[in-house]
Amino acid sequence: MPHLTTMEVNALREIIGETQLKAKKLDIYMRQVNDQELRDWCRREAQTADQGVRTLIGFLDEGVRY
Amino acid sequence: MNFSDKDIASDLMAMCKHAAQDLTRVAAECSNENLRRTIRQMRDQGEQAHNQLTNITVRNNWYLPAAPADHQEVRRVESFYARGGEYQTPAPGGYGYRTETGGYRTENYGYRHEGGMARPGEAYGVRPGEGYGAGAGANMGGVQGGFQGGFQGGYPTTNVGQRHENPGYRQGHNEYR
Repeated sequence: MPHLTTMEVNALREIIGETQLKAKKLDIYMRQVNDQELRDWCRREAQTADQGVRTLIGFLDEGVRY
Repeated sequence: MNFSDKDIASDLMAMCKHAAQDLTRVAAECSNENLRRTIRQMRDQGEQAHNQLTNITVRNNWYLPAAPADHQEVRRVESFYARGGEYQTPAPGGYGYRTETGGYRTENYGYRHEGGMARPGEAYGVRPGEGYGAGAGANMGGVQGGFQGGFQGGYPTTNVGQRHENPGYRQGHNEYR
């Protein structure tokens, strides 16, 4: 049963904001770093962060529909 | 101004640590089972990523990992908790325990007095008149009453039990002066 408390909505807002920022930062860093291993790590983590944002927004979508 | 790879890696490590802390806190506050599980998964993935990043930084000499603890110190702490978290023989006038060779070992925050007791009213490891660093239990060597006087305006290093305005240390200032 999709149900969100006020606290959870606030938590989602906080986490989504931070994760979006993280994804953006990783995207910038990915283009700046010289070390190949670090660049790959940044790329992977940027993708993970984007995926995380989409998943968390999905919870808000469900909450709205409910 | 450009950041070096090392700067970027350091920033990313800090970011990973904060993210893991935030996600842990948020997961604990969630009552929605699905949401909590998802956030914990994100936290676990984040910790793995942090671990990978740490390995990269160590390999490149961008980060100095902590040295292994001194074996004697590990044994001392292990011995303390193996006894149920109590000192075997409390030292008169303060904390400490009787060592195998007799005498009292009295230790505090890296300072060490061996083979004798700290003098009553003297905070361990600090010369009279000197200030004390911040931290709970800083006045371990003092007699009762030292805490009361100490916390309000600098830790007493002599004449424990009386309020002692210590010019060397002020609360809120994490430094010696």
